[in-house]
Amino acid sequence: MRTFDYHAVGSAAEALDLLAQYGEDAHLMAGGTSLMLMMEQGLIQPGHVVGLRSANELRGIGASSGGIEIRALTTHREVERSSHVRDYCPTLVEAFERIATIRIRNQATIGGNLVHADPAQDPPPILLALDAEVVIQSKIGERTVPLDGFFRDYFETVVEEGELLASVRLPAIVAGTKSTYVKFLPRTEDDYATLSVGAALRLGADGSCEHVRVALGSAAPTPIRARKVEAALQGQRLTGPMIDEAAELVRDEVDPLDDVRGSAKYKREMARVWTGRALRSLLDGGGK
Amino acid sequence: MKLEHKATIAAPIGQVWAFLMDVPAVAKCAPGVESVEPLGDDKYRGTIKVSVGPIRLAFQGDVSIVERDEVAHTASMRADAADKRAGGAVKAVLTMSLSEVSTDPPVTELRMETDAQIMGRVGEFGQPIIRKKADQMVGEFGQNLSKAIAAGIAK
Amino acid sequence: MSMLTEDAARIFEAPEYRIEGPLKVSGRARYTADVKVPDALIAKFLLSPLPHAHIVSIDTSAAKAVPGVKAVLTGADIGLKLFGRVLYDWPVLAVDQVRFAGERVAAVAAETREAADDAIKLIQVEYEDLPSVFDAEEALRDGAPLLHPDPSGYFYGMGKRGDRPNLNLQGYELVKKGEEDIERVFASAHRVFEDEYSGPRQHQGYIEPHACVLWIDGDDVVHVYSVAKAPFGLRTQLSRVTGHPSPKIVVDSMFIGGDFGGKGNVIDEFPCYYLARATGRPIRSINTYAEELAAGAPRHAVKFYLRTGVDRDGRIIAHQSRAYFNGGAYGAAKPMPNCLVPAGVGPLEVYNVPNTRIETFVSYTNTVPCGHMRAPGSIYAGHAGEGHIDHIARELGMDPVEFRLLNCVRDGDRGPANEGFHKPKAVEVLEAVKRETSWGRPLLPNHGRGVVLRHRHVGTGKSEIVLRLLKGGKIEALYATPDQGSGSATVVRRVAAAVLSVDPERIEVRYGDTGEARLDGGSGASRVTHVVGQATIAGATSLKEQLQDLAAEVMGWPAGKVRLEGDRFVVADGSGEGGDFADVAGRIAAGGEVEAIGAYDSNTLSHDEADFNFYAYMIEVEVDPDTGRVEILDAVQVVDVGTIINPVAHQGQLDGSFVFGFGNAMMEELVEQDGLITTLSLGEYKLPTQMDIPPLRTVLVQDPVGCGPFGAKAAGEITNSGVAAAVANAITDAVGVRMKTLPLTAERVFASLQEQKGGVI
Repeated sequence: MRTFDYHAVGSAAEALDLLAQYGEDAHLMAGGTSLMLMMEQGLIQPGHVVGLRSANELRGIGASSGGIEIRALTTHREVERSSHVRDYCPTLVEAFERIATIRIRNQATIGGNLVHADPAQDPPPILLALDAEVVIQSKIGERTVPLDGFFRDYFETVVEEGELLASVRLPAIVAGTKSTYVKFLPRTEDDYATLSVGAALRLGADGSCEHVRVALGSAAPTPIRARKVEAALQGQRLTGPMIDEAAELVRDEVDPLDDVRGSAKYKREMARVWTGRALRSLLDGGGK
Repeated sequence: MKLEHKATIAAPIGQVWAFLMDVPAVAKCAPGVESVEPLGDDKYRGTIKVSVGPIRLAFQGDVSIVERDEVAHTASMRADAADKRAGGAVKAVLTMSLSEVSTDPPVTELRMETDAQIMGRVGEFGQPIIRKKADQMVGEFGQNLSKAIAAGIAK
Repeated sequence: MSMLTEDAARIFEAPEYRIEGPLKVSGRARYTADVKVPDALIAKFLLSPLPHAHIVSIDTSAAKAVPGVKAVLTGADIGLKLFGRVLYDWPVLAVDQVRFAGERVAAVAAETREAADDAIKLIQVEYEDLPSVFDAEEALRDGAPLLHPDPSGYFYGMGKRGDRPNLNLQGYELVKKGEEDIERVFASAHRVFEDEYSGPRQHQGYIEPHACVLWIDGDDVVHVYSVAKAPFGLRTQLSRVTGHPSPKIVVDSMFIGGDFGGKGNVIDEFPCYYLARATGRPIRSINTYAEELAAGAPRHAVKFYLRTGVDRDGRIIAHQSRAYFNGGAYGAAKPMPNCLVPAGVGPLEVYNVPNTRIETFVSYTNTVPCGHMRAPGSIYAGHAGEGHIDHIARELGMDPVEFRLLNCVRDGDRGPANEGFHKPKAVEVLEAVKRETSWGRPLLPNHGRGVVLRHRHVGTGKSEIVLRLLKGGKIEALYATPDQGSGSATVVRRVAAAVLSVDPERIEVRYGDTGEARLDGGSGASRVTHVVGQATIAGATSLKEQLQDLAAEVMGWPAGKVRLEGDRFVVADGSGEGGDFADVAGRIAAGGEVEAIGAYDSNTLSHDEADFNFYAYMIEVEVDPDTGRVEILDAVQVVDVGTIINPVAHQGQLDGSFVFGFGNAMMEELVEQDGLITTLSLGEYKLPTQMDIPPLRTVLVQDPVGCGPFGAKAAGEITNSGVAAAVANAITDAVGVRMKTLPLTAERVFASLQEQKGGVI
């Protein structure tokens, strides 16, 4: 690893100042679990690393217009253990419990995770299923963007130079909505998912589908929403076979990588299987 | 790793072939190419920038035409390039072949077969993503070629 | 000594405290990378990016100019220096040619890692591609590029190298038994079955990467801290390669951070010697894990072709096998005669087969040189052989356990390679499977059970240990077997105490480097408990006799009547006289040094009947037919064991073997593309974690008849080789597909199920 100057900042403003000062030669660091690996491999060689861990304003979990707000520097472990998050949506807790290992979860943060934009990560699919938005801060102010649209490509998001991700907002969950997160790990429990699905479903009094979200991880260059599947189910009176049929559509929505966790062909089939299984479990009264 | 791509170009086969033999013009169609200088003998030196998120690599190296068959309309180019900063290298052979789809209107199909190897430390960083990225880049290259040739004809 | 004495039984059953345990749990155990030597330079190596190329030129001028760089060496500087364990065919630094991607082309020594890294990037090498071959069988076809067209200059350490039908073979072996014309036997068979099985390269997965710290002192003595598990072997190699006299080389490999076969081969010490010579400074080299995965010496990829004939009763009458091991670019990493992988003869090793023709081919290819990994090759021989046997049993409509009982070796039978067995336990472990597991009970849909019967030899070799009485009533046991985690020091303590009949706490086991301790064969090949244990018995027996005589002398007791028993010296003349061990030993020690050398060489014994641990598995799985995912619901290992000396460590070895074999079976694969390994981190090359381990039960079939001390056998590499076959057989039982390629990934099972349905994905 190349030597670098480390700047421990106490606030987002300080961090933004340093970004402005050093430009491309600076890199923000939250938990550092991914950044350090890439620096160790020599793939990123910043001269200045801006450490955010002491920027307390960027940490914490609170209420936000009926939903919750999780500030960017909150660790996965804090999310996992938060009674606030559990009250809001137990599935979110379950999804965060599945991330890597407890050592990583104690170090890695929700903001760092999203900005890293690795399509195999656990938080994005469930956050997409819950209609999360992110707040991006810069010297000129703040902008809020939906998480759906936040990811651009491998390791690439809409966060521009001179900006930082400040928090994640989750809207109020309408009563009766159930959600689930499934992570398919055919090799080992601490692997990246071969495929993962976050899903949410709400049925009306007549059994028709009032609200449905299906999002997938490890299925494309970015985490994705399966809009065709959602569209096929929206407003329908759902049955198991109908879900299976809709799940077939996900094959056309994914664009997976060939890797050691499975060929693209296999992952496409697994996207179908796990989309179907996630939605069927919600229809059958599973999920939380 | 082996990649295959196809592009359909609305131009006669002869014109497409002529364009393909102009290496600097062809190279400009590759996304990220910064410079191409002739070294003589069908050999060129250039730089291509590749980025995957925050990872920015600059491969410097040589491209040469190693085979050309004007009758069969096939040519292959070989590229050897290295990124000195991260410590990685790419070796690739790109074989292009043209076939006439129709003469009126003139439509030519370009097939590109790429056989590339990623070596050194860059290779430690997920080969699958590199493969996907390379696939994207060659695909984009094919589209740019079609556009450039079409634009040349339009002039 | 093979009878279990009262002392031995009591000591071996007592709670077990590892001698090295406190050092390890408190972080004080010193591993090679922990060794700090003042003024040490950091070594880094430039690796070939190409699988086969001519080196046109190397320009090191820019690298040498980097501040802090003290030496940049290439093959041109040190000359063609070849190293190896038996066959010396691997260049320390490439000269003119590279034969695999990852081969060392240049070595740098610098003040800092950054300077060394910078220098490596600035070395300019011009290569000219040469045609490559990556596949073991393709390497043997006409017209394949020859990797070593002229091997005449290669040193071979075991006499004359065996005949090789092709220059692209590192080694070849044909073993025959029974009828010369085996085709005649096949022609007479009731049925003949053929199968092909294959397995990939796998990595040993030790946590500690290869490392060494080497310096040359003012008296020209070369000091090496190494991860080599056979330090005397390394001393010999280093001497032969460099010409430095062996007595002036001292190797210290006290603690090894995981081995699993991978620390038998070391490569850093050779270039580091030349860097130390060039700079006059100590050299530290610590590999990255990417280097380990790309260019360590992993387990061979292999393909087996099996053919077996049976008579009307289901008895095996003929067996033919061809095994193709992909040896990589050099044979240097293998310790066996002719670079063979012994498991080549192993698919049907536990069966009584009268007529066999078994061939093993180990090819040179332009890939990473392969070496040994826990029971080398045996997992693949097991997967192939036991899958084949299962296939035959099912085709014949026989219960797989009954079919094995019909054909397995019994007392007096000889194995397919004509090997003899000392009291084989095949029947006993199979009977235990029937008795102790759910074999044969009803199954739920998509559930299946598989059985496996295999064995592993108890290792052989020679070792010496020094036992000496210390002042203060302690007894020191000094030996040179490195500790790679298996607990051999505690074996030595317990065995010595049992022989001497003293409190085990009196035995102080101490590791000594090659300058201090006596010859040892290293910790590997299931050898240590047997060989070091027997050496300890010899040494302790001799020391005991000396102490008894000396006790009589210093205490004025009648000569020849003193016995050391129950931690006391007693006079066996009915007088009731005697004294505490510490008191009497203190007086003996005051009179001068008392020392005994225990030496043991199993090769001096008759080998007509060798010792084996037989074992069986019964594994139940559930297959998810929609995803191909296999879950192990129940795993029982039935193991034939001798006397157990360290019960906790023994069970740890058996449990660890299962976990190791589970990883090999289900997930581990070094992916190679065009000669380059592409799984370059432990995030890509996955090992199982604690969360993945299925329930495991061990059933011991115990008989103290082993060749080790007090009837002990081996423990370290028995049951790991059977997991893959048992799971594969269980998958067949569950869903009908036979998995002939390892690892047994969900995707492979899914694809087989699709194929079975006639569908294509």
